[in-house]
Amino acid sequence: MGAHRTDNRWWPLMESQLTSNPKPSHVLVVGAGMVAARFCETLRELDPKVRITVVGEEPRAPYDRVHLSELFAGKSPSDLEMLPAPWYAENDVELITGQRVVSVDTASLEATTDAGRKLSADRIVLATGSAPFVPPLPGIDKPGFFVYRTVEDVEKIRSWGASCKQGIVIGGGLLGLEAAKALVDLGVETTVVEFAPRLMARQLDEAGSRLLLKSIQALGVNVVLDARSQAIVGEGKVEGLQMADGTVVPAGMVVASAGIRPRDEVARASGVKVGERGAIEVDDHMRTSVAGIWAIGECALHKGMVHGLVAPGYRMAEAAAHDIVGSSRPFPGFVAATKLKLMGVDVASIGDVNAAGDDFDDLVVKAPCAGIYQRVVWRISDRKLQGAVLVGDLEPFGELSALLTSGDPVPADPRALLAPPREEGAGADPIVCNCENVRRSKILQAIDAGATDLAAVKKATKACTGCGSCAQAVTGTIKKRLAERGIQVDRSLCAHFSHSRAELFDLAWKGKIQDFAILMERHGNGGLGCEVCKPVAGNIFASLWSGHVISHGRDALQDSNDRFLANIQKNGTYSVVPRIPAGEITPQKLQVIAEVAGKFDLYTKITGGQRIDLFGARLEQLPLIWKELVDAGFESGHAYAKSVRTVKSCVGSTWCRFGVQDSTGLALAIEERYKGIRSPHKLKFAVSGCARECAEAQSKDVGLIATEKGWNLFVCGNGGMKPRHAELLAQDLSSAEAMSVIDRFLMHYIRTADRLTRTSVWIEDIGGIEELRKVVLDDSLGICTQLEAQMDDLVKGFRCEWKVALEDPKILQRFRAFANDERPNPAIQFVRERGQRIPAGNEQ
Amino acid sequence: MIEATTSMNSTWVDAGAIDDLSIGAGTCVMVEGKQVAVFRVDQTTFRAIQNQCPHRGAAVMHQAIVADRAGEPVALCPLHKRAYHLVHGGCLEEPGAKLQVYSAVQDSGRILVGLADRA
Repeated sequence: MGAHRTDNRWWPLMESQLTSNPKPSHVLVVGAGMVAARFCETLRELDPKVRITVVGEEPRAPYDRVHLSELFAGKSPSDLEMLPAPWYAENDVELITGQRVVSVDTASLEATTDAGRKLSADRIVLATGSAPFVPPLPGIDKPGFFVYRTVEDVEKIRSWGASCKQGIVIGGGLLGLEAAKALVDLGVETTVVEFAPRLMARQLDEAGSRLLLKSIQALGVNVVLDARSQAIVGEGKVEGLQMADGTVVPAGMVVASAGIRPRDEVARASGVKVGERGAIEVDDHMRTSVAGIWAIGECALHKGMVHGLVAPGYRMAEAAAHDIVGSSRPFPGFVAATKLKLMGVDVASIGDVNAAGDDFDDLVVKAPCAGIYQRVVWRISDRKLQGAVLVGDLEPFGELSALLTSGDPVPADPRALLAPPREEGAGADPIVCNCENVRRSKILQAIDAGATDLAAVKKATKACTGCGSCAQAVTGTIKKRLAERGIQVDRSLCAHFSHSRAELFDLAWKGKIQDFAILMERHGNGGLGCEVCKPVAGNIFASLWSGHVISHGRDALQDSNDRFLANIQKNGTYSVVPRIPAGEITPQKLQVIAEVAGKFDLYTKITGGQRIDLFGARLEQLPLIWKELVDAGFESGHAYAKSVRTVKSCVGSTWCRFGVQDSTGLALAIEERYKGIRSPHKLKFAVSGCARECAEAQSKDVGLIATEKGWNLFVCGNGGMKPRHAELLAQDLSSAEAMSVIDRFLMHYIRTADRLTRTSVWIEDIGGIEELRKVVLDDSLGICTQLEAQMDDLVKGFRCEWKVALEDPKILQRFRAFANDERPNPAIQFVRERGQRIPAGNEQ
Repeated sequence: MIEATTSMNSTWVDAGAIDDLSIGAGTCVMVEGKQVAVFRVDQTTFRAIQNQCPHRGAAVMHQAIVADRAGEPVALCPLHKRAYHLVHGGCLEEPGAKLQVYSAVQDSGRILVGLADRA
C-alpha cells in the first residue's frame, strides 16, 4: 500500500495504486458522526460483503446532531439515532463506541485507539468531524461554562440549566442561535453575545440579519452585537460574562457556540496532509495525500473550503464510498445553501450573499412587518446568480439553489425569481430536498409509481430523511400531483360512506343530524351500515349532541363496550372501572370498592392508569354493581369509551420534597373537565409535579410538567403499540391557560382526526407540531373561540352515564341475560385461581 | 315473559316488544334450553341465530353489531368482529364455521322466535 507522500501531485499516482488492488476487504471508518453513518450506509448498499468497522469516541451510535436542540423539547437521544440500533448487526457493520483513534500507520493502514486497541484495514476513512471552537477567555474552567456539540453537552447543559435563571450564548451564528433556542426551551432567560455587528453574518446580508434580529428579540431573547467577550467571572462558578468595555452581563451559565474547528489531529499525527489553517486536504473523490486513506465531512478541506453543513458531508460520504468500490461519483463541490428554522423563524441562505460592487445587481422584496425579506444577487456581466437570502418565506429556495448549481443565467426579468406563484417551465426541475439532493422529477416519479403519502415518498426517494425542512414542500408536491392526475386518495370510511370521519363530523354538525338513518339517507351509500360507520356515527353524535350515548336508537350503533357501558371480556362477562380521578381515593371509597368486589365475587386488579378494574360481572349484574358504586359517589370511568381514560399524576408539591406545583390538583381539575367527552380514540393524560416526570406525561396524549413558573404542555405522545415521545406545545402556562389550550387542542383533534387515530398519528397527518401550534396558539384558522365554546358545551352537557342509565327503565331492561328467563346465563362458568375468580377454560 | 303458540306447528317464544328494540339491536331468549339471539335488522325484518359464537363458544352474539356486507345482512361478533350471515348463519371469514339459524317474526307488536329452522 501507498507510501506517505507530501507533494501536491499525488492523485494520478494513487489512482494507479488503487487499480492494482481494486477490491477492498476491510474498511475502517474513524469517527462515528452523521457523515460516517451515511458513508457506512452507502458503502453497504454498494458492496454487501466488504467488512466495515466504525470507531467513534462518543459513547453512542451516530446520531442526528443537527437536531440536537430537540432534546430540550422532549426528544430522547434514541429518537435522534441516524440508523436504527439493529441496523449495524443486520448489516454486519462493527460499531466501536467510546474509543478514539489516536493515530494511523500510513504504511500498514493500522489504527491505534486511546484504549490501545489496534485495528488494521485496507481502506481508512477519516470522518473525525469538528470540535466547537472554545474562545480563549479567562474563566472557561469555571463550572457553568459549556460547549454545544454532543448529547453529553446537552445533558450537562440541561442539568445545570434547571437551576439557572439567566444564560449567555457566545456566538450569533447558526450554531449559536441553535444553542440559544436550547436555552430558551429550558426556560432560561437568554442573551446572545455576538462579536460581529450582526447575526449570522456569514449567511445573511445586513437587511436579512436585521429582520432575523427583530424576530428573535420578539421571542424574548436579548441580543448584544458588536460585543467582545473578555472574561467569564464568578466565585467558584459562572456568575456572568465580562465584556471588553468592562460591563458584566450576569448569568448562571455560558455556552460557547462560536464556530467549529476541524478535527484533524489524527491526520496530523499520522502524516496525512492538512491545510495551512487546518483540515485534511482531499480531491474530488475525497482521497487524502495518503493512498488508502479518505477524509469526509467537516474535517475535510476540498478546494480550500471546509463544509460545516450536513448536506455536503453526505455528498462527500457518497463520493468516498463510490471511489472505494471502484465506481466514480466525484464530490461536486457544494453551493452553500442553508435552510433552517431558527427559533421559529424560517431563514435560508444560498451562495455568496455579500457579493458587492459595480458588476453586481440585486433584487429585493421587503415586508418587515410580515417578517418577510428576500434578496437575490447576480453578476451583471454573465447573468450568473451569486447568492440569495430568504427570511420568512422560503418558497423560492428550491428554484434558486438549483439555478446556482446549474449556473444558468438569471431570467431576463429577474422578478420571476421571487414572484410567487412561479409557473413551472417544462424544463424546470428544482431540487426539493437539499440534504439528499432529490429533484422534483424524482418525487413525481415516485408518486406516479404509487407513493401517495410522505412516508412512502421518503422511502422511495430518501427525500426529507435528512434535516426534514422540506416536509411541507414534499407533501405539497404529492397533493398537487395527485390532484393533477385526478387520483383521489381514498379517505372513505367504509363501503357505506365515501367520507372521512372528519367530513362526516362536519356534515353531522352543520346538518344537525342526530340519527344514523338520516345520516345514511343524506350522505351514505345505503344499506345497514357496518362495524366501522355505526360506532363512528355514534361517537360523532356523542361528541356533538348531548343526550345519552345509549338512548333508544343510538344504542345499536355502539360496539358492545359502549352499548353496555363496560368492557366485554373473552367469556362474555364485563369488567367495571369506576373513575378514580387523578388516582386519588379515600380509604372509605376503597372500602366500597372492596365490598362491591367481594359481594359480586369480582376479580380485582390495579390498572396501569391508577385505577381499579373489577372483572367477571355478568351483564345483568352491571346495574346492581353500579347502583352501589353510584350511591357511594363513584362515576363511570369510561374505560369502555373512546374518551378520556385517566389523568395520571404524582403527589406534586403537596407531599413531594421536589414538587414545584400541585400536580394532583391540576390532574383532578383536568379529569373533571374532560371526563366522558367522546373523541376519535381513547385519550390518556398525565400531570407531573416537577421535571423528574414521575407521571410519565411525555408518553401521553396530553401531558403537563410543572415548572417554576407554571406548566409545560406536551401533546401527542403515546406508549402502547407505537410509542412516541410527546412534543412541547406551550411553556410556562398558568393552570387556566393550560386548560384553554387543551380545550382547543382536544376539540381540534375531535373535529379533524380519522377514526381510531390516536393524537400521536393525527399530529403527523396534520403536518406536525408547528402546524398544530399555528391553529391552536396563533389561531391561524380563526377558530379558537369556536373550539373553546364547543368544548364548553360538551363539558356542560356531562352527566354520569351510569347514573342516568340507572334512572332509565328502557335502558336497564337491556341488561339481562335472556328476555324470557331471569336465570343467569349457564354458559358462563368460573374457576378460582390465586384466591380470585377467573373464566373457566383458562386453567389448563 | 310469556310463551305463545302461533298457527305454525312449533313453539314460539316471546322475545319482547318490537318498540323496545332499536333498529340494529339484538336480544337473547332461551328457547327449549337453547340460547337464541334475535335482531331487529330494519323496521320490519327480524332475524334469529344461535347465541354462542362458534369461534370461542362465548354466549355473546346477541350483543353483535348488525351490518351489511355488500348488501348481505350480517351480525358481527363483539369479541373478534367475525361476520355471520343472518340468513344462513355462515361465517364470512371462516368457511365451514356456521351458526344455527332460527325463525323470527313479528306479531301484534311482539317479536316471536321459533326453534324450527327457517326454510
